[in-house]
Amino acid sequence: MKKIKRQIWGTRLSYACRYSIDCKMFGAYCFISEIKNAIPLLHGPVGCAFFPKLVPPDAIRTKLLKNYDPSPFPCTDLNEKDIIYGAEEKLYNAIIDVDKYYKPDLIGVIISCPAAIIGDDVESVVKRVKDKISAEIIYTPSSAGFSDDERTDDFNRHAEDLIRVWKEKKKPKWGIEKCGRLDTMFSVISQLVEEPKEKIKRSVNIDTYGRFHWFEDLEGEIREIKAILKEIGISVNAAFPGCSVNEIKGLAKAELNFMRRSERSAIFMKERFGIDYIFDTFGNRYVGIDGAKNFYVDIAERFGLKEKAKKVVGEVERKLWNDLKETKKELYGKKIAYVCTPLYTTPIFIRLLEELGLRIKLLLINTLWWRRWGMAKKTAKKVVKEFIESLNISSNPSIYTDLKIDEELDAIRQKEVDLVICDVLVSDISRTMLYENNGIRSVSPHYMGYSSFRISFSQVKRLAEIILSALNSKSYKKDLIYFKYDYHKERFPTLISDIPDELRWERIMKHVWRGKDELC
Amino acid sequence: MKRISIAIYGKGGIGKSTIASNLSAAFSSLGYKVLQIGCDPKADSTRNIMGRRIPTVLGRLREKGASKKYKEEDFLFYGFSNVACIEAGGPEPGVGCAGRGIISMMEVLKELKIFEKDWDVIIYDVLGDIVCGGFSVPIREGFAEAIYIVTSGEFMPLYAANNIMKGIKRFSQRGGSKLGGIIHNSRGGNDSLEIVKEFVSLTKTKLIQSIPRSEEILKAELEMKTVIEKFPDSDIAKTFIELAKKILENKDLHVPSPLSDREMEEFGMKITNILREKK
Amino acid sequence: MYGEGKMSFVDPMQADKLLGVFRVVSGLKDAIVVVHSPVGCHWGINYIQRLSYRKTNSTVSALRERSVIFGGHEHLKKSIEILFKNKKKDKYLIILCASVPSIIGDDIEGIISESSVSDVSYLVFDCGGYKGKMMEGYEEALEGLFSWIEEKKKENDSFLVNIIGIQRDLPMGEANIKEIKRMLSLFGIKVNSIFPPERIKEIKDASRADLNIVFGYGRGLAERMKERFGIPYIFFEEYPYGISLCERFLRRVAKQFGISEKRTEKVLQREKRRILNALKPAHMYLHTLYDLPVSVSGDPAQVKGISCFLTKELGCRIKLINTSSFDDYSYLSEKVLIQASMHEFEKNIDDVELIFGSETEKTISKKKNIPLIQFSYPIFSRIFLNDAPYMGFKGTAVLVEEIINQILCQL
Repeated sequence: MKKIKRQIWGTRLSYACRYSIDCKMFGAYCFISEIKNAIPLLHGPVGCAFFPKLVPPDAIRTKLLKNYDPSPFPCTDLNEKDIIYGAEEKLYNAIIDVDKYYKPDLIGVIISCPAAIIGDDVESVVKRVKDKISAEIIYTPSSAGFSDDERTDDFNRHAEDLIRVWKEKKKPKWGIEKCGRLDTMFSVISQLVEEPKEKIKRSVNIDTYGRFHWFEDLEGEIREIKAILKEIGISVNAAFPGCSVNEIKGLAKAELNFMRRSERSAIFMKERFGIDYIFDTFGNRYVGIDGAKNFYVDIAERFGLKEKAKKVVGEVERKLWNDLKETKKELYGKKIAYVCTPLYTTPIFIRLLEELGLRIKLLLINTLWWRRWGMAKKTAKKVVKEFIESLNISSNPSIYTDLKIDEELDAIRQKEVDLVICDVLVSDISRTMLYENNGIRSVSPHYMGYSSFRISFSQVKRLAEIILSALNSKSYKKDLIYFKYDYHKERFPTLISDIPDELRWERIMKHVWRGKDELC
Repeated sequence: MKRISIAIYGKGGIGKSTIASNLSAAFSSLGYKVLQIGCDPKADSTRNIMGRRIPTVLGRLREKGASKKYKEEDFLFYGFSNVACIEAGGPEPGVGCAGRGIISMMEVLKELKIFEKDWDVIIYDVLGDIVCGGFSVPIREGFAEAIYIVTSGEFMPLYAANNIMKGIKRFSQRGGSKLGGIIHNSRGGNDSLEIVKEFVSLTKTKLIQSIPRSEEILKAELEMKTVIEKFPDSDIAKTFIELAKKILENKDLHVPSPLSDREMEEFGMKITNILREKK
Repeated sequence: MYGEGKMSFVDPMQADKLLGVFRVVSGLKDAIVVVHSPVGCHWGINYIQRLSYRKTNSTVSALRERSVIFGGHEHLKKSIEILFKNKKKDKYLIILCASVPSIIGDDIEGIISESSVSDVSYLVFDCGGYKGKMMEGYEEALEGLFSWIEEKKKENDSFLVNIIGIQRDLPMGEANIKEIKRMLSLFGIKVNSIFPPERIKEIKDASRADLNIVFGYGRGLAERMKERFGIPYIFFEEYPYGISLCERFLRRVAKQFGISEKRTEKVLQREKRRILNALKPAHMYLHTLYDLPVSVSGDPAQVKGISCFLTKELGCRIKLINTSSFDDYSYLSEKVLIQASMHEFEKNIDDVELIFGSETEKTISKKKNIPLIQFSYPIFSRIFLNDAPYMGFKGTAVLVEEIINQILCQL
């Protein structure tokens, strides 16, 4: 995918997400569109089916299915009469026609808010129509836009989770389990996966992971996982979603599930098909080099291949460091500043930078992303404190929190670093541009294709190359038109004129969407 | 034994909740494990089993949001004779959507695997008129197998019963619950068993039991108890136990033939004539 | 002729009533728009408006499951109280009820009166998505703004008009309005208020005008203004694309103001000369557009306007019109689809060499490799920085430039 395309898509999405948040129905549409030759069918009015087609398709659809256009989104066009008298027959006929016209492998019936309120018995319609169509069919009972999910929980829970992961090395409790996509994943799995005729020995299913992650190498990650597992003697039954309907039907052939988003689906497959599972929220435990090693060892252990796995990944690691020998030499001792909003995996990333020989002289922590999502200032302060305590950076950097953007520039200049590395949550592209505008070398690894969330050894190599390339690039002061507008110094790069709109949504999100019911 | 699950429908105020709770107590006294689910925003179905009003499923949902992990103890309570009780709850009159509430409640119960526990009897006590999709959920496939309609021999309750039969007929075509029969709740005055029998014959169903008017029911209700608890040796208690046994043994679940609007009107005229003759 | 062989599903190419109302009211800089709905409804319509380069003063009441069951009043009340917390005066609120509160029957007036916010002027629109399509909402919203028009004294000897119905939320929207203003100024006619408006004051002062000029949408509003304030109106079914429609537009307005035919023709001749001069460099390509098979998609006023220009003045052949409401388009196109589904549109587009439409047609244009000129709502793929309209005399040159450039790029 061309770089400019990713950039434009990314800009459009980030612009839209500042002023509201999308609903479960949209998540359901996205998930169905990530299955090969599947068509979502909305039981609802046209408005809900109109806007999703104008949104850039998700990373799994584009990168794994190689489909760069948004999925069609046929709907039953509910009108006033249908709301009053019910529209089950309409849905029935629509399913038959969708099957006839699109000839899909799967029809995903998504229930909209109006259909959910009037209580149309979609389950029985789907049951009746099953034998009349060639496609498989599933429905999503709780995908109405008003349905609750874990995103409506108090975001301060995320704070507790961060501390739990850093300090106690325990798993996070707060996830996105019932969001639209994962809810639909559960529906697809519970309704589609079949009892296998036979199991494929030593095989595992891998949960792919990606939404607006167009910059990341989803394909490469899966390819690498398949290759290394093969060497250990384990095959990948399916990497889903981003696969065909038949592969999903055959998920139960595997002996193990690796899930990094929905434990609910994993539990279901264990109870129904007896498939053991490894679950780790967003794969936190498995990023970085040690993380990747753990990934393969943990999986192999379930098949009694622990020692073999250790050998294989040991060799992979050895080769990796060998390949990086020259690069490491060049990186050695270089002074960097790192700007980030701490995530679960941030300490691992910092350690990685040190292992590459870099010296972190300045750590700039920015908590805007948390606060935008509703974390209280006091809580954010506490989390930062815990974060800093959990670090053990040998180069003893100066650490600042929530500097205004001009103060950041001053701090960076003072330290005379060779390079500034910007993390993905701190408006990395704009920050990189600003630093470079001021003649300071800067890079956003994420923008250049590195991802902190992937389970991958080759990512480390990529990171090193990205950093080296940035260090070797020419740096000179620019006079970018982009920065000639009034941006807010604390909420960089938002323009001052856009701040009221942002603040308005943040208040509504915190007090209304997530707020307590006063009458309870 | 194989589980039986029944839904009690009937016009508002006809005595469904009284009958449902007394039935639950009756089943329990016969040694069965019973779960009674009240599907009415008024949330007073299980009052007589619990001796009080219990917190509702939807009340918890309102407070905590569906994403918080529910626990059974939040809304499943055990009352007289270990009958388990759940109340759906719902909005005040004039706001919101109670029907949607029933759907939401069923989703919560399914998720917590309440239905997979080893109940012998599940009784759904449902709001008077099936005004939207949500209230028909108990009679869709997978919930109640048999419906019992409570009526008196007066026109309006019979009209409501006929409407419910129309719903049953519609759902039966797609595997929904069938009708077990009519339960006559006698009200005295203009009530007439004869009229009920006539109705039952016209709609091709059967009369399962006639429950006579009883002072004991009223007295027990005042103390928020069932007659099984308060007056276990009374005739009325025996009637309920008889009804419970009949329901257990009832293998004849059928699709009724509801009357058309015109036929119903004609029947209404008939009722007037019968009452006039009586006087 | 209309949507043959209809299937029981629609892959929609047009939005619903909610977006139509939102488009009209969300441009008001000094009013707050609250979409009373779950979060997604606002996300969708705001996304489309924002990418149409329009800031919106809007938010959402973020209804949840509890709201559906127990009523949405809690959420709406809280939202309103938060939004007007620090505002002491000039409180203007517009509430858009989407499907959910519409079905469960939330009593909006009751909720507002219960809230702690006092002295707020508000409008409520019932725009559940199932209630109608986008332009119905657009029309209804325009009419709804009538409640805020105040009785104002007229100036003497003025030629003051209101412009109603020109869609501002297109990248060339403001430029279109500017061009219409300019054309009117040729006759000394000034523009008072524009609907959809950007300021409450525009609404309040609307009664100052001597005449309402309605393009496509807002006839209901004009009728009410006629009834209440005695302001006459002239109505044009289509937007003024191309020389011919501009001439017709100006002739009618001039006549309304009693401007002499002689003067009118003089002005028109001058404009015509100017525009033909501007078009001269394109002359060699103009004949290549003759009989070019094209398709036109958009709302009725857009479709009629541009189709008239394309067929009459450029000689294109319209093979397909895809629009949102029933009317007679047979004089413009061989085939007409009404509220077509994406799959119907795709089926009928094979022999077309140029698509006039919006972002909605983008996927099909790419798939079939047919160039797309975006002129109707929504437009994401064009940005206009240089005051370049598509309507009016000036717009004729801009449009011809765009068409020819698109074709030349493809070669």
